[in-house]
Amino acid sequence: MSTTPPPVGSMYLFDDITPPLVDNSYRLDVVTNVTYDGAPANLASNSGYFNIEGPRFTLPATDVAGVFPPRNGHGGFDENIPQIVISRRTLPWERRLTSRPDLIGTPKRDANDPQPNPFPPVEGQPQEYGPAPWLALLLFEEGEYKLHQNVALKSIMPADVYARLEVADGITCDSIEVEESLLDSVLPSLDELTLLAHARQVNVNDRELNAARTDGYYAIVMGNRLPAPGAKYRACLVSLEERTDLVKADPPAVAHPLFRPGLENPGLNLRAEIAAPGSAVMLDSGTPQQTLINVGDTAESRILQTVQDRNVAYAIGVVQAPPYQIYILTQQLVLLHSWQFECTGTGTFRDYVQRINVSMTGTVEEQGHPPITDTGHIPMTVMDRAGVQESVWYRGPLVPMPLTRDPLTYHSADQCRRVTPETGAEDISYAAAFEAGRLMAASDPRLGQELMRWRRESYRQSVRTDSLLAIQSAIPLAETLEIHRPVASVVAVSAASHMVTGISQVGDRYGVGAVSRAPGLDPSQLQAAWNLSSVEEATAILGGSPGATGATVAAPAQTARPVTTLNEVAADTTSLNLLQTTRDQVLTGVQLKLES
Amino acid sequence: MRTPWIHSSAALKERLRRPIQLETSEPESEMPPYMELFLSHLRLLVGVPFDYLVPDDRLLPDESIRFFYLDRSWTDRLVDGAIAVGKIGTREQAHHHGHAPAVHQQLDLSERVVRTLQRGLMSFTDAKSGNDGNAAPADVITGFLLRSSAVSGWPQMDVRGYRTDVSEPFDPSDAKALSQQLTTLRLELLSPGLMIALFQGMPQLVILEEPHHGVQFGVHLGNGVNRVYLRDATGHQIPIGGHSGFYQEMDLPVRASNSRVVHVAELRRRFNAIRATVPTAVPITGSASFAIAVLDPPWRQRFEGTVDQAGTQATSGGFVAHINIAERVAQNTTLEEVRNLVATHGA
Repeated sequence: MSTTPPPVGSMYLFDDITPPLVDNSYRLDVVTNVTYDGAPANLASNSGYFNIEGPRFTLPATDVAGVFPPRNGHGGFDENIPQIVISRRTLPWERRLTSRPDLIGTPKRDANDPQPNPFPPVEGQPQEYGPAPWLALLLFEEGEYKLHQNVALKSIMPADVYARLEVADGITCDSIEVEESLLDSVLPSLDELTLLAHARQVNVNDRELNAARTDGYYAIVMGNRLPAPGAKYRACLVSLEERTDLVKADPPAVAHPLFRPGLENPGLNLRAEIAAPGSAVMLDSGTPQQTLINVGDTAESRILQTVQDRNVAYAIGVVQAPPYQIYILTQQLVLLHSWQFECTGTGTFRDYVQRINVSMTGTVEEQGHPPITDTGHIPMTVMDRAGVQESVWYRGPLVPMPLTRDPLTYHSADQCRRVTPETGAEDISYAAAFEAGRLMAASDPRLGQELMRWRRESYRQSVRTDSLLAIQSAIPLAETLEIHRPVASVVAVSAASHMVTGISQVGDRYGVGAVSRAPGLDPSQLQAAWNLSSVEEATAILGGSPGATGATVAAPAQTARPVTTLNEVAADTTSLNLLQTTRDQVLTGVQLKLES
Repeated sequence: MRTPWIHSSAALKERLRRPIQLETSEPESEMPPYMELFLSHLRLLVGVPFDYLVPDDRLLPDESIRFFYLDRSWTDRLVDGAIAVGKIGTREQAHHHGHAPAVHQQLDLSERVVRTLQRGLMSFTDAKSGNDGNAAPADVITGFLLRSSAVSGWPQMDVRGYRTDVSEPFDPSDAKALSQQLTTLRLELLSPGLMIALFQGMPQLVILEEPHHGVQFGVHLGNGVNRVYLRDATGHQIPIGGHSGFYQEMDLPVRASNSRVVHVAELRRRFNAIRATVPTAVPITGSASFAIAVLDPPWRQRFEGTVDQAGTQATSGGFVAHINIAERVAQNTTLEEVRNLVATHGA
């Protein structure tokens, strides 16, 4: 499945989008296998239960993203197949159609024809439940159906179907009741169900907000019945979960090629069969149905009338005399969502948008009503501050021509009021805008706080700038203070540079510098005092060496010595003997001194 | 006498000790995010009562579309009014006056992210940091109000504005079409049957397109029977022998028991069978390809060449004619008149 949305104006279609797990109850088993000393020593296992639940007997209206034909719409929909768009993209495939596919059977298929497989086989299991949707969209004409609200789920389906649903008692739902014969002729078969549901991914960039917030995935369920012109219809999204009694493997026969469509109710030629009492009523497909019991000449017309009124394709039931009653088998289905529309006139999207009256703002339907100037202003009556009625001009923000933008800043609504030179009346457009903005802002408590915060922050900044200016004027600083830079470092650098100005040498650990500045040690003063011939002479008298006054002195050159080793030293017996002799002499000398 | 809670020396010490006065990343007129958000929504008239927009119902009758320019002065006043809340003295007024240009400049930028936020695609800070880099000046804002059954019936239609007249047929995802598409600043339903759209820039062409997820399935009547067109894998009709205007089609099979019920299984079989003669027809392997085969392409309505009075109007459009007065005064003829008047009566 693609995760990037399709390009603008395109859509992707998917056969189905199945959830990793269909809705059901599940058990999760945790087993830890440990092998200790070569022998298995399994830890205690644990189990947990969880349910996956989705919409089942009711569908929240918010899950329906759109329907076609439009809800309560009027229009020429006779060439359109109804459809429902579900914003929950996995919904049609979230539940399995049935746990007993064998009850439906396998559709007859042509070997050469690529076929959708509603129940693809899974290894290890005879049959698994694949993408056959559990939803169908059925279309019924007004009068063909009955709606029921809050009926017990148990009462609307056969007991075995109810048992397979595995639900608690007491669940109620909405249902739709239709005659079984009609339902048979409308309900899609197994393969058809699969073909009538798919998923789409569309690009939502250019949509209004409700759609633009979604991810663009939708599930779509189509109907299979075309509305007839001039009739009123209800489209019904129904649940077929476990309805193996209704869903067939194969659809009814195709209409005979010679029998042109257009006749809504082929069963209306019922008269021919009914006229011969006791005979079997024949379907177009040629299948004999239940016999209608002889009703006699008098009641026949009434029965026929009833049959026609009820729009029954073929009546199934028994007429009992007297009173005559026709029993018609009906079926109820769980109704998830339904809407009505009428198939009259024209009313497609194309018809609507082509009929639209197009013009610029300020165009009125009828000349002069309301009176509007070519600038888009309309006159209005307001009560002025003196309580007098006054005629003023007003124009909203939507204007028919580009305007220059007023760069001024306004602080009150009064400031925005203008008098028009042409009419002498006031123009309150901008004053009204100012008040609208003020009222909207005032109704939002958080905005008030934020405005205060915004101002407080600015005031703080302003105070900081002020104090920086004060520091700047009080202390002669080398640099200008800035609000984005630390103050302390600028001030410190400035102060330190002032203090160190004029000091030649900071480090004089032994006071040599101070001593050398004593009058008696200054060669030029000495020369003057003692009347010497030159400063050099005085310097020579003072010791002459510049090292004495802390100047740098070059070290004398070192005497070069040959490289020697310990072995050579040990081998030099002459020198060692000399050293020994000298040591002995020193020891003797010390002993003599101690004794004396 | 009340003793001050902080002495000037202490204040100075505090100021000196503070490592930094203001982060460099913080511009001086930075608004709190919520405030910026609120004001930029105001700029696009979000939440403004409808009566302010259309003061008289007759200005927007049923089944009509009205194009407009957005009056920037009006929305600026809206913002001025909102900032006026809590303005109690000269201090606030001076503050507003000093910051107004920067506020308007910032809002010119942030009004462009409103739709991104409304769609919930990004957080405000992310959207803002991406958008503030693009400091293009404020553009003209245009738009339309549409009151129609088309809005209530097809609320999720596609709406696009183009700055040039892109000729049909075109693919909206095409690079050329995309480069001409205007940014949609706002696209919202004000009520179930009323849509407002705002574009950044002036459109030469606005199109409304049927919603794609609601693209319907359809048949057409030919020779008294319902027929379906054959379509290729991209949903396009297949012309007969290269002629345009004539397309491959076939009869729609229906059930014998009910002539308005489509025999879907048979239809699918026929779709596949006809590929022997029309090989480009989409093969039906599942519901998605079946949907391609029976869908109607979305209808695209074009609104082009809307009356554009830009530049043809001599007035500034408002009664506030100060600019015009200045212009008139500066005109040579006016000056000449004045001189004549002064010459004849002034003495």
